[in-house]
Amino acid sequence: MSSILEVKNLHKSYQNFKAVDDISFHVNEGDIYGFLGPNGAGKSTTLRMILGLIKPDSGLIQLDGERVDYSNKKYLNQIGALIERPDFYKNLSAYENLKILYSMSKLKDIRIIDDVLNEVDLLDRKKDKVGGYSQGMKQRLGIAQALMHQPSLIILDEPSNGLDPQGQADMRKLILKINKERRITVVISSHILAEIEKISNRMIVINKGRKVAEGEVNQLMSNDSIKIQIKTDSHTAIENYCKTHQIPFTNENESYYLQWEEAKINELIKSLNSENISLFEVRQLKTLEEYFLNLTN
Amino acid sequence: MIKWLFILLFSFSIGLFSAQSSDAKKRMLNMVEKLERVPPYSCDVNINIDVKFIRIKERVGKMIYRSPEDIDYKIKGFAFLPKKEMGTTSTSLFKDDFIAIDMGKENENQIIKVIPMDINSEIVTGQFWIDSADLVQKMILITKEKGSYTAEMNYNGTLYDLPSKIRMSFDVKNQKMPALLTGDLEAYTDEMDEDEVSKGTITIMYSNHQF
Amino acid sequence: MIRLINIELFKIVKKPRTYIGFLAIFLIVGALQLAMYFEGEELISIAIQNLENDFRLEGKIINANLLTYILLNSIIIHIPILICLVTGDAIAGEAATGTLRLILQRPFKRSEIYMAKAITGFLYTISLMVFLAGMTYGLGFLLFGTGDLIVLRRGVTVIASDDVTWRFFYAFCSGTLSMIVVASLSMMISSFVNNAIGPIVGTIAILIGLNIIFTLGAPIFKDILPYIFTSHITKWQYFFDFDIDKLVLQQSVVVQFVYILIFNLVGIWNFNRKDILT
Repeated sequence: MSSILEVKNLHKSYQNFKAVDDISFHVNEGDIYGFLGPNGAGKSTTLRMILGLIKPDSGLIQLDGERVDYSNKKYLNQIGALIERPDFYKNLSAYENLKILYSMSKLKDIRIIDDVLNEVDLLDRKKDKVGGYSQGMKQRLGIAQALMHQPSLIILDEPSNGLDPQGQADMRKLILKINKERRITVVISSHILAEIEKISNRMIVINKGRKVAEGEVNQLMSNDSIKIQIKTDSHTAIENYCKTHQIPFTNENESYYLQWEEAKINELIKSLNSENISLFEVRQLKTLEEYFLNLTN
Repeated sequence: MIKWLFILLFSFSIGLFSAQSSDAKKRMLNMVEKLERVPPYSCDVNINIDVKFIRIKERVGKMIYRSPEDIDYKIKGFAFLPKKEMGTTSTSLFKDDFIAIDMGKENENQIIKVIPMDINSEIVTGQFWIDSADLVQKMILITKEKGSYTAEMNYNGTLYDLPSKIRMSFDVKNQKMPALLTGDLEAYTDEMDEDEVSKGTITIMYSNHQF
Repeated sequence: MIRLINIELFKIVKKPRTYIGFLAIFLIVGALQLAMYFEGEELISIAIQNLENDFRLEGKIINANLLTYILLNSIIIHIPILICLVTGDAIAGEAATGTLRLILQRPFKRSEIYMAKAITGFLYTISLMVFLAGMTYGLGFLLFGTGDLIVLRRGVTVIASDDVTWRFFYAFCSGTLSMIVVASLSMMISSFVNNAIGPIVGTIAILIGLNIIFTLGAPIFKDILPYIFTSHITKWQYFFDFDIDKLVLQQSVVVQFVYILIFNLVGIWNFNRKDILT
């Protein structure tokens, strides 16, 4: 399966704060790719960098094998996005909002506006001002504007925010429909594991700007995924060890969380000892869910 | 003997002086009479103003004369005109009794100084330059409160010896808005001329008289 | 670019705040002209008291031309505020409401989007000035008729009514150019902040501040005054001099164009490098 989006070694800092610290991942064509992380992990920042809203300090972004060039915005023809809140011109109707965006695209047939409004079930409200829409309606309109110019990739940043359980279910249904019927690759970010788990086939987990895990959802959610919680005072040593052995890790409250296979934990401990890394505690965590719950508590 | 000679000489001088004054006064009264004989008329006027702080192009219009105290102008657009009082003032000089003194000649023009007898008169004194054809070439009036003004006349044979051109000069108080007030900062100078008075001139050309 | 300008014009036409400017001009002009209608003679006689002492003034002083001249002075403060309400909102307002994020996800360069907004702002400015001209002269003509224009600046200048029209045309052009400088400044500030109030307050603060500094310090700053853009806002008055100083006016046009260029270049530079966090 070919890669539609490739992100390599992305960095972004604000003064002394590292918002995104060496993040790499790839999205295959046809994926519903989950982007999971607690609030403030760097999800939105990463997605904004893909869209050119934020300029990375360093790193590479490729779309369909072509390097993204911020000076030439043509690549945005292939991407539709809904970042954070679905913000529109409140004094204009849904139709007028989409018409503005239609005018900014290469589309030739204005009937596409009615088509996408119908797809998100807003056709009968198209002449109403967006200021009077409910949150759910705005989210759907957000999806409509992302779909309208027929992109190959859609990026949805927390699309279920503010929705009730029924609204969340409807949103998931819509995303699955877009992916299956229109064959659009979807990147969906969230801080709710269950949401990602339900519709994504692949995912990345980030925390404090760093990648913690990446892979098939099935695999990550199985018992073979992130297992180890290590407490140590040899901070530099353990970080160097992980970098040298290319072990993804994260640091939280003086604990280090490593992705490791359950069967090879003893080997890891021996290896750490041989490097004179002091270990106060080594704890096996059962699932990604448990790990993620630790992070978010 | 010498004493009687001085008395005789003095009496002769007074007599001579009185004779000259009465001649001058007669001449002035003739002038006034001539002016009173002018019937109402209208004519075309061209008005030019030369004042330090006023910039305005020549104005054209019509003047309607009914009497020396009753002159009206119909000018196209806006115009600065001599104050009505100038006409009134010069004629009021002769309303009550006055002394006329022959001041001699200047360029073939007889100079007659007129002093009103009424101590409440607005005019302190007036001086007239009259030529041999009994035409007033120039007059200067000095007033109590409104400074002095000068009028110079030109004639071209119009009926009733009306002038074809009058050039009036008078004192004008400087009209200057502070540069800081108008926002005209480039005109700002450190020297503020407060209450500066300068000479202003109004020149009126008369033509096409219709009586 | 035409597409983007059309979109920006559509947005401006649909925004209620766009019409605040026109309404405000209507009210200001209407109020002043009515005030002059009822109290004008008395006000004017105070101004020309000295002249009335020395001359008989013949002709209509209060007329459409005088009122247009007086109201053109409103470009010093009133009109800039009304312009900033729209141009200051161009980027900062959209950043605050989140719609900036929406349009920057489209395949257009940020500089193109900025220029479209700037040009739309300039068109709005021009329309406000045209409305001001039409309103002042139109209502003035209805109430007072026409006549010679008397200007009390560097003395007294009387301009014949048939010599006034072309002067007003150039005066309004000059005033409009000054207001485009103001629009450019507010747009530039708009690119730096994420709330719409900042550019409005900032622009007016700069205008008032520079006016005060250079008015009070006129003797000290006399040499740099020609290079400060606020000193050119009243340059339109030069068109009502008896002998128009063409050199000063040409220099004024050049200086103002330079400011428009600088403000827009700085605005574009900042907009290009700015991270969109809202």
